[in-house]
Amino acid sequence: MPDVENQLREELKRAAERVQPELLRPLQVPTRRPSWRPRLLPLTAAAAVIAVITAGALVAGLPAAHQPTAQQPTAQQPTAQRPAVSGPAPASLPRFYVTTSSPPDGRGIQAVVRASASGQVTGTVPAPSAIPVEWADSGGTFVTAAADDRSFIIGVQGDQEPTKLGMDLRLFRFAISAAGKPGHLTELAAALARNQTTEGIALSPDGKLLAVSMMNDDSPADPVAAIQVLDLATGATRTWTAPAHSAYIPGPPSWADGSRVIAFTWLRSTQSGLMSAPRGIQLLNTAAPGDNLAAGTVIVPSGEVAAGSIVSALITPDGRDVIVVTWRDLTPQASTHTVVVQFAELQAATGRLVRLLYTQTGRYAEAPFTTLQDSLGVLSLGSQGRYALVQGTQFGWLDVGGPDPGRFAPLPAVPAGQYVNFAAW
Amino acid sequence: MEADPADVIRSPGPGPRAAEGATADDPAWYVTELFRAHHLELVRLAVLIVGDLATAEDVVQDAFEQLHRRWRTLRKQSSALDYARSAVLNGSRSVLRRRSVARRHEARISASSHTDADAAVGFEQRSELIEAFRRLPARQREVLALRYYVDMSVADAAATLHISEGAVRSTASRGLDALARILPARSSKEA
Repeated sequence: MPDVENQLREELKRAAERVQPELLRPLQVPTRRPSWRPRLLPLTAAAAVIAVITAGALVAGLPAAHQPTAQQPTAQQPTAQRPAVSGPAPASLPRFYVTTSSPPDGRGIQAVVRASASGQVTGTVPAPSAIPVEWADSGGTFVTAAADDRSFIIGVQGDQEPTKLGMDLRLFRFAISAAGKPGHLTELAAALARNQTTEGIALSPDGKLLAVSMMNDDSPADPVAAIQVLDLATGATRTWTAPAHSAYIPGPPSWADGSRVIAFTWLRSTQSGLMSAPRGIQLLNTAAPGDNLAAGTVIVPSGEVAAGSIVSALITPDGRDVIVVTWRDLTPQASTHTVVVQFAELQAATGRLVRLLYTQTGRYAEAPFTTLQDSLGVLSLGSQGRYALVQGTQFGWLDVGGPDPGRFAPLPAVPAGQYVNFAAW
Repeated sequence: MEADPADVIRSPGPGPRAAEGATADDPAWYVTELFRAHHLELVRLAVLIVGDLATAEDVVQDAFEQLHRRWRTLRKQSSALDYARSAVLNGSRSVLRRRSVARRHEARISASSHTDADAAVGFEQRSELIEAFRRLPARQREVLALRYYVDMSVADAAATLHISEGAVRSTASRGLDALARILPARSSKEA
């Protein structure tokens, strides 16, 4: 064993010392990243100091910090199997959709309400300004809507303990008028578990229950997957957890069948944490006894649909279908990835493919490719389950059960090159 | 010679290298000093855990951001380096978990983790032992990196990882066992 220890000591040192000072970039003011990863408060002052030091070092002839490669998307224009349609919006399209973003002055976070037919902003409402602005566009905030398309809840991940992976979640409720004007935010008093990584939230169609999928990080070494349902009237909660050491990770939840069934994607990672089985889709019957999250019905065990890997799924309100988005990398070993993104409809009872709805393809360099993978999503289904807000290579609405299935129309939400992680209508 | 972290933090005022605009009352000054003294060490530690330079730098930057944000609430500011180290390990673990969500196929992971910077660092030419190290569970990598790269005692590694000393010993032992299994094969290959 000493031989192993000595060799490991030597080789770790050798491997680590390949990182030389001249390869490192200086501490930077964090930039907004269109990715899943919440960014913490900008360390503007310290970054400025470091910048001064770096400049000084250059002048003094010390090793210069390299400039990091800009991680702007370099995707070629995505192509779609069927061109996006810009004609008149269907009459049954939900009237408004809500996203979060940073306001023009860059301070705080705001919920933005837009008209679905035109993409025009009809109103904004600010969230507490203590929240890092970077989170607005990067998945640190969540949005969900009740079936009335008027009642919304936004969730904002908050404080983080240094030795914990997770963060606290604050929830705010607001309503919009018939003209799309939002009212004030009201913070929900009910406290959900702290130190958690929130994966998604979903209001039940009747607006009475809120489901939150999360990884509870009280024990960072062994986070526990959980779905918690909060009764908004009473504050009562019920929690389903995966067995210890099962390494389940639940995706955003969605409701069906009269607020009785919750559908969510799930992934089971392997022991090392570096490899993982593809996502499947699981159904949780909230009317049944028990608290085992893994005991639900698995409807798509392989996580594969039409040769693509499922990234995100929502169940339709009637519980009959599941709308999924999949991706497939046609050139996994290449430095530029050719990606096929597909939206499909599955039968909820069997997981069988009913139809492919919409296909997009694009070519991406490594960094934007990873960002795209993290960002794909079926984000929200309207109350009728006919139209979905989706993030593929573009953000927009997709007819998934209306008069023209597969029709896609892009919508505005975030600056070009960024992706929408959560949106609701 | 690198400044002792505790000395850096306990220093009563701006030293000769303090940058313009920062004062000893400013957390930025202390964090800057800590950054200057330990940035490289922490990036190297993160690289061993997450496997690529760009991610390691992100993780370390996040750790310093956390440190700055939390500065005034730290119970002992002299423990700032411990805090930063814990935050780096936490951030690395979080990256690994998130990466497992985002990347679903082993081949993709091994093929995609390398950037131009990684090429410059030469991570493609890792030894078999380092490759085997990278395949260990994250917790074993953390323990082994702290014990055999940072040269921490069992007690210090336990404090950094917030686990018991017994857990450090058993985790290290399992990791070393796993690595030892590849050595005979490697030796026979070399012979």
